[in-house]
Amino acid sequence: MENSFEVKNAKCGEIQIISPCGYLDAHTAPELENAIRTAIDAGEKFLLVDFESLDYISSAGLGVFMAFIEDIREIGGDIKMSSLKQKVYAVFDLLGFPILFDILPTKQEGIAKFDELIAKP
Amino acid sequence: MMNSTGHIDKISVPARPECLASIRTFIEKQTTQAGLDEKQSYNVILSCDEACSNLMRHSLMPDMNIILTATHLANILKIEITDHGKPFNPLTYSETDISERLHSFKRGGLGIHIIKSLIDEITYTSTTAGNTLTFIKFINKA
Repeated sequence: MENSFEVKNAKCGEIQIISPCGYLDAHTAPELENAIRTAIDAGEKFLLVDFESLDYISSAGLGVFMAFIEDIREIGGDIKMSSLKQKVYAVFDLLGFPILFDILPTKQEGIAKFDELIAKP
Repeated sequence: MMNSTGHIDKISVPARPECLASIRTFIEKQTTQAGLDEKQSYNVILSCDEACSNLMRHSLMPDMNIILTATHLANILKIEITDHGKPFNPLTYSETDISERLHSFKRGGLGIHIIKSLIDEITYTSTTAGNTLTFIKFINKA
């Protein structure tokens, strides 16, 4: 297994799309944490984390989302997730994340879910 | 049936997070040799990653080493994770509050929950010779 990891950022309207790619573990989790913190500090509160290119995640990676979710929901935002590979989803499922986070099959469905939230008065 | 002896492979790596990739590579080699399917292999790799990450975070200094020993038996893959740091028995960590921890968004304890969920048998010993966490994975070959 390689250990390459990078975070890609994109914008779709008011939605910040964060795409972690490669292997997310205790070594690489701080890079994702920095990316999310940077987005929040820049005023972003609708974060869609798209996992299409993520091949591996350990609990250190999952812990990153727990660090931010309360604060971002307090300001009316959310972190939603999309495009998880089955082996990555299995780790989320094992820890009960599907009841805490919206996890959508595709990026497009994640964007649509956020659009519903943003459209609410 | 379990043989009394088996092929043994060993690696010693510094207790630094950047070495987790080397640990996973070593374990993947063992799971491949043992004939585990992709899902079971992933489970063992993840569990070893979690155990070693815990050691790096809580028990060891970066200049200390973690020793992984894999023993291949007839229908068993045994992984021993040995360190010489502060003893910590993950089996004594309370799991009763994992749901509560999740709902209060606390990070700790997730790795131990993963290990206990994915590994067939886990034992822990701590002696003057070191601390060893032993994983047993049964191999169900078709």
